[in-house]
Amino acid sequence: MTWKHSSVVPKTPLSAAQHAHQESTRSEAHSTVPSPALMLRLYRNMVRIRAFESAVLENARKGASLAIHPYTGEEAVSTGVCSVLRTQDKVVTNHRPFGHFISKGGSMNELMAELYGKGNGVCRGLGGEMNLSEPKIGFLMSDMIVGACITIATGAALKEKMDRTKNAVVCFFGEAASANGAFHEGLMMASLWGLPILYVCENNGYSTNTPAHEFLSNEIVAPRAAGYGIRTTVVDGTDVIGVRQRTEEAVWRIRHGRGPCFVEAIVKRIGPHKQELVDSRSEAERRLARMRDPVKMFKAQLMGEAILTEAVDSRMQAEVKGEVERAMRFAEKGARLTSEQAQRFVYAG
Amino acid sequence: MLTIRLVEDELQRLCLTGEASDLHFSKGQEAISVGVCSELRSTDYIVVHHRTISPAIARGLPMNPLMAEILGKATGINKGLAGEMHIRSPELRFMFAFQLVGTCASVAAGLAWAVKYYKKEDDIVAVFLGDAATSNAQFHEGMNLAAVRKVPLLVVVEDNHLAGNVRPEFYLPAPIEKRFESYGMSATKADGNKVDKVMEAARACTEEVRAKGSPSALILDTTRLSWHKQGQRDVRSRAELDLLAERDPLLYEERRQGIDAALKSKLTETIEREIAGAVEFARASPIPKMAWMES
Repeated sequence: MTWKHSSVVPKTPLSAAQHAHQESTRSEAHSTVPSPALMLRLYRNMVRIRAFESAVLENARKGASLAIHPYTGEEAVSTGVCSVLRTQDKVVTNHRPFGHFISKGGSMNELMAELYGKGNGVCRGLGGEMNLSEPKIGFLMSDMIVGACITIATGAALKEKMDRTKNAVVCFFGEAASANGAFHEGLMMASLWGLPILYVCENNGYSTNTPAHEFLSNEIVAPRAAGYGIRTTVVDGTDVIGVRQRTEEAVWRIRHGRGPCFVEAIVKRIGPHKQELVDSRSEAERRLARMRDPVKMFKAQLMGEAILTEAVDSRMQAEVKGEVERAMRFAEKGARLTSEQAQRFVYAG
Repeated sequence: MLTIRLVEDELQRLCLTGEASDLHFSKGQEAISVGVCSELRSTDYIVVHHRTISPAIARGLPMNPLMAEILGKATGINKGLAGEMHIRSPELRFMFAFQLVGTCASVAAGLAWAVKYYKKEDDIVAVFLGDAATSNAQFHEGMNLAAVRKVPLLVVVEDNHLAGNVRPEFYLPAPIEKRFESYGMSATKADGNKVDKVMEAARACTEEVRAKGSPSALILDTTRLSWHKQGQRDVRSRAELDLLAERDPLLYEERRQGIDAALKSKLTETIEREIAGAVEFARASPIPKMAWMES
C-alpha cells in the first residue's frame, strides 16, 4: 500500500448548482426489484439468524456460560444491507455482531465454536462475540466499545480509497453510538475526504435500558449525519426489501466515488440488551416490539404473494434447524486452546 | 477593544524580546469578546478557548495581575503558574481556559448543568470556541448533552475560518449552523467584526438562553489578523491579510462612533500608560516559588 496524498485531498465544498444537481438526481433509481428467489434467500437468511440466536439463548438459559447481545428483531437490517455487498466489501460492526456476521457469509459452525471459546472457532475461541474478525469474508471486526467501530471503519474506508478499489466499507452501529465523539470525528473525516463508506445506524431506541430521549437531543440520528454534508436516508428497519433498496442506491453512489452515505434503520429490539440483563421496558412496549417482528412480517408478505407456502417454510425451518444443530455439534467437538497455544496469538507485551 | 489591541501589541513586543512566551493573540476578533461580555451579567459564567487575553480583559480582569500572570510572575492572578492558556478567576466567574481545542465545550456544558440543576441559579454559561473546535469529539458530546439536559449554555463560535494555518475545507465538511440544528439548538449568525451587531445578537441570545434555560449558539463571522500564535508564521499572503485588515473591528467602531485621530491618540496614551505600569509591576515581581519546585 502506498500513500498517495492526492487521493485524499479534501473535496471542495459543493456549489449551489452542484447541490441542486445532487438533489435532482436524488430519485435516480439504482435499486433493483428483487426476484422471488432472492426474496426467499433473504427470508432464509433472517430465519437462520433467528434460529441461531434462539439456540444460543436457550443454551445460555440452561446454564452455558455465554455472553451474548441478541439481535432479535433487527435481522432485516443486516440481511438487507449485506445482500447488496460483495465478498471483498468490508464490514465493521458493534457489540451485536451475529446478524452481520451470518449475513456477510460467515460460517455458523465457526461462530458457534467461537462463542463456546473453542479452538475451531472464528478466532480460535479467543475473540468471543465481541471481538470477531474474519477477513476472508470481509468481516473486519466487531468492537465492544460503543462508537469505536465508527472511526475504525472510517480508517478502513480510507485504505480502500488510497488503494483505489471499488470496494465499499459498511459500518453498523446503534443510535447510542451517535452520542459518542467518535461518531462526530469519524463522519466528519469521511465527509471531508469523500470516503467509500456506508454508515448503517440501527436505531432501536434504547441504549441498554436507557430510552433514546435521555441521551440524544433528537431521537432520529439522520439529521446529524446530514449536518456533515453526508447523504442520508431513514428507512423502516423491519422491512428487509426497503433496507435492501436503500442500500443498493447508497452503495451505487459509494462505488461511483460520490462519498459516504448514511442509512438509518428504525427497528425494535425484541430481546433484552444482553441475555442476562433485566429488560426495563414495559410489557406493552415489549409487545409492540414483538408485533414488529421482521421475520414474521416478511413471512406474511411472502405468503400473501404466494412466493412462500407453508410447506416450503416448514422445510426451510427444518433445514435451518439441522444447520444450527450441526453447528452446535461442531462447537462441542472443538477443544479449547491450551495457554501455550493461546500465547502464539499474543502480539504485544 | 482598544485596550485589548494595545495590550496585545505590547505583549507581542515582549514576545520578541523573550520576556513573554509564544502567545495566542485575538487581533481582529476583539469585538466578539467585548460585545458578548458586555451583554452578560456579572454573575454569569465564562469558559474560553486558548485565545484568553481578549476575553479576560473584556471580562474585566485587573490589568496588573493579568500582565504578571502572562509573564509568569508570582503576583499573577494564578500566582504565575497558569500562564496565558490556563488563566482563571472564579471571583469574576471567568471559570476556565483550555488550550486543548474543543475541550471547553464539554466542560462548559457540565458547568451549565451544575448552575441550573445543582446551584439552581438563573445565571447562564457562555463558552467561547473557534470554528475548528466544532470538529472535535468533545464539542459533539458537550452539545449533545447540553441539548438533552436543557442547560443554559450560550455557545459563541468565533468563526475565523482558520484552524492554526489550516483552511476550513480541510476540517469543516458543512456549514456549522447545520450541525447545531441537528442537536435541536437554535443558531444565530452575525458579523463578529461589528461590535454593535455582536451586542445586538448576544442580547437576543442571552435572553433566549436565560428565559428557556436551554442552549443556543451564536456564530460570529470574524477575521484573525494576527498569526495563529507568536512564533508560528502565517501562510496567508500579504494581499489577503490586507484585504482582511479592511474588516478590522477597531476601524469599524471608530467610524461608527466618529472617533477622530486626536481622541484616539489621547485614549491610546492613557491606556498605554496603564499598560506600561502593568508591565513594570510584572517585571518587578518575583518568579513563583513553591515548595514542590525545589525538590
